[in-house]
Amino acid sequence: MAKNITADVGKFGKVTGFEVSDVVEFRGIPFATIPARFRRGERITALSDGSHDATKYGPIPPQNPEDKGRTHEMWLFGEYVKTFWAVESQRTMSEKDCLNLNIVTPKDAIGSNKKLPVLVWIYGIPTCYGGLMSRRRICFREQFQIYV
Amino acid sequence: MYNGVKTVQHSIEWGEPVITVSLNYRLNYFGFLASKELIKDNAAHGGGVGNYGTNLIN
Repeated sequence: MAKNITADVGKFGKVTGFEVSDVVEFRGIPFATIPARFRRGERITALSDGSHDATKYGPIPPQNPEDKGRTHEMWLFGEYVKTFWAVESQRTMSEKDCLNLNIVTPKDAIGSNKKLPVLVWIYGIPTCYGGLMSRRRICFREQFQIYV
Repeated sequence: MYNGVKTVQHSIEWGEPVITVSLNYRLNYFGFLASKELIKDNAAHGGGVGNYGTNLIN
């Protein structure tokens, strides 16, 4: 069993993830709410109940499972699309609760004030399907203060 | 990225530790539908149309 680790993120709340060898994984942390369909999301600055169980993945945005069979995607990404859907299709979809993120940090960064580079992975085009397990992503790099 | 665990483990091995963040956003019509009607509808709610994916209101 993986050992659970709770990070106190100040005003945001307490987030409980788990350790995998020398890193800690936090899954499905909500970062924004969706007030209504076709409205912009609103950033969350504090967890509604003050804590979050980040040991499980959150829901993914609604998408059409039929997209997995589209000819051009199969032709371009063949095996990738198949693998992706084998994993992703087992996960819950939610229009309102899909705005969640995963964080992985070195274990000794927890509770430390040292700044580390943060890689942010945003799954890329096509915009019709995707999810946090998606591998094809745009990558950029920025310096952030660590709060975990 | 399947998930960030391998990336972070390697970064530690290289002596250049990083943190990874991966995030979900709305897709397809839920994320990117645009029309004149939606511009009007959104005007009273912080504006913005055609990208509900990653375009957040503070």
